[in-house]
Amino acid sequence: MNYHLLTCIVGESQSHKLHTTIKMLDCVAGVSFLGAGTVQSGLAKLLGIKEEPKEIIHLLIRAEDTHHALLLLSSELHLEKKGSGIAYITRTVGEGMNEEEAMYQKITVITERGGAEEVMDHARAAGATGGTILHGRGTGGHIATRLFGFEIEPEKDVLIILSSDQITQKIVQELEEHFHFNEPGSGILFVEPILKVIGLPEKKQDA
Amino acid sequence: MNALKSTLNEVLASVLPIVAIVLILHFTVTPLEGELLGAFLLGALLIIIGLTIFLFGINQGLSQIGEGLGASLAHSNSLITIIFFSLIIGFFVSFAEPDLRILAKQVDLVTSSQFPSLAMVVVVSIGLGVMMTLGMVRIVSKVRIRWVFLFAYGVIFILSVFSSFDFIAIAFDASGATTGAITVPFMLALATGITFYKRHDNHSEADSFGLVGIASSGAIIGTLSFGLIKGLGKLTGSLPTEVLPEGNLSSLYAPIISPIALDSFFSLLPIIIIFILFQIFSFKYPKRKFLDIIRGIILTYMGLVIFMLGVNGGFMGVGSVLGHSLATNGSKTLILVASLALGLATVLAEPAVHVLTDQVATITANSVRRALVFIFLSLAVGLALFLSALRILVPEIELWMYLLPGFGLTVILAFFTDDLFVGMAYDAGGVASGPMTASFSLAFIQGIAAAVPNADVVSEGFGMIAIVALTPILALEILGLLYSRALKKKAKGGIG
Repeated sequence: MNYHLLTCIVGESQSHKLHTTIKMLDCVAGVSFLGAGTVQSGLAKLLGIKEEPKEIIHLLIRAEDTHHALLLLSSELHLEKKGSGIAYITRTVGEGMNEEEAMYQKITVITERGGAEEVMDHARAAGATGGTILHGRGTGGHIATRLFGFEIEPEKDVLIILSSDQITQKIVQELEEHFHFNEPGSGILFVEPILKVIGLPEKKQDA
Repeated sequence: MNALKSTLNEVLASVLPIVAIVLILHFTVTPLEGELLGAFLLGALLIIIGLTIFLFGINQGLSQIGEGLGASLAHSNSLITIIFFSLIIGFFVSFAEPDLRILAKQVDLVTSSQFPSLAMVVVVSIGLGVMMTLGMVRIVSKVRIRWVFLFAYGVIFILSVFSSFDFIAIAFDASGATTGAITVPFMLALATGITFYKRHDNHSEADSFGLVGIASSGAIIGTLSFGLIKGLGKLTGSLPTEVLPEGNLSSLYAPIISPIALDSFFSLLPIIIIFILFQIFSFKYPKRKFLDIIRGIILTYMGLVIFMLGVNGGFMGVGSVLGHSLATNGSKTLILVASLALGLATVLAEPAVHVLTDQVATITANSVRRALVFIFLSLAVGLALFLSALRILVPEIELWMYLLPGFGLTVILAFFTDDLFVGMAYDAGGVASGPMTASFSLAFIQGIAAAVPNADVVSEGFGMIAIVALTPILALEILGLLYSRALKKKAKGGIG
């Protein structure tokens, strides 16, 4: 089965609406980060405000559902209006897909809070040269657990590794063996094709 | 613009509830005479403007300095360096706290100068410096935070057994006084900074919290030890009874402007000096970043002065008058209900509460909702003022009947609660007892005590801050328990 990655970036004021909209979507997994958007305004500059809070959400959605999902997000959040946020879709590498044009891949692993270091250790053993850990919270589940009306969403670690074709396969294989991502609750791994990379150190290939 | 709007909205939402409650009381049971209502509304306006500017300033100035300092201590990789600078920073930050000096003067009076005010400030600052150092060392070591609190409150318990009740109340009050609007955001940032370079594991985010809580226990330990050494027993002196303010706008605001401007400057001074020294020898930030931080400090200063003007000029007098006339005219039930309502509302306007909840949201990527933390803190301080008023009305209730089981329970709960929430909870104890509590709520409770026969204005007041330091710890530990349970329930639901 093929999946697409739907990414949405909105300001704080849109965050609530975004999350209620996500509930209507049928997504496999979702993770949300806090970030900062840039600001350009006179008064804000005077107060030294250079950035404002943003929320970035990645949703893993079945390829055939993405179009509908994007339309729904766009109409609910009025994305056509300036300053209301953006959303875009990227591909992930599916089983048996021919990705000739992509020499590199971006591996993303979503684990429980505090789990990323262990995943990285295994990825490194399989040939990864480095990785980046982000801190986010899981979102998009169908079952909502509430506390005083506020939905409780667990914290997640998100590990991002860039690597070249052959090493990617080794890393994914090693990680799947160790963490059994196919079992529910064990985490999520997906791979995206990358067309060009600058700054990735070449690791000596084992024969 | 959105950042400005959302901060302003947040500040409005946290100041308007108090205004609403005071207005309701004004139009029903306790009309405020003369220009007092006007002074109060002006105070509310100043608090809204001041708090908004202050929060921006903290973000750009104090937080940057604290985090930078923490990071560069962590980078030094030397325990001696961490201990040396933590001791110095902790001592001077506490020494410069204006609230501590006000308290020390009062203690000087009530102990008939057996406990001179300079000695008190020094002793509390040493205690705070030592415990803050312990807190910093704990972060770089692997000791879990619950053990530190078991140790700290164990020591406090043992010292308390040999101390008089009045003195215990003063000690807790000292811990509330040292953790003011400047020290708390600074210490929170310091903890975040020193945690950042640790290996990213389950404990690293939890380690960003708890430093304020540990440091404020040092103020208690310091005061109690000094009291024991000097052999202080019952309080002998008395405080001059506060004159209820005349309702005149200029007479309320004019005389306090320059002391507040000066006090606020002194509370920032040690941090400015430390920053400049580190800028020269360690940070070496580019000019642009350096100037940004300086602007942050200036904004913090302006915001703090405007905020404190509003609190001391407009709110404090009204608090005292409200408490007094409620206790004279109202039924006991009304007093209790009004205390509960004011407590629910005041904590929202504490500056450091916003900084703490902000940090909680950032560090947990919004998994722990700010609004939830606000709700629990609000309930906690509502309960605290309710209990304080109840103690005035029912003379049989002694302060230790709240504090002993209360703090005992916080230490026990710490063993069942997630580390993140334990640290957050003890920090919240210091955070909740900020300038709003120390002026408005204190004046309100003392106003009630002044109108109730046989109630001791001094010890009721000291006790109130101890209770406000206690209930938020319990509340956030309970929130932690509920939160972990909700997460477990969700995990059972089978979400990847």
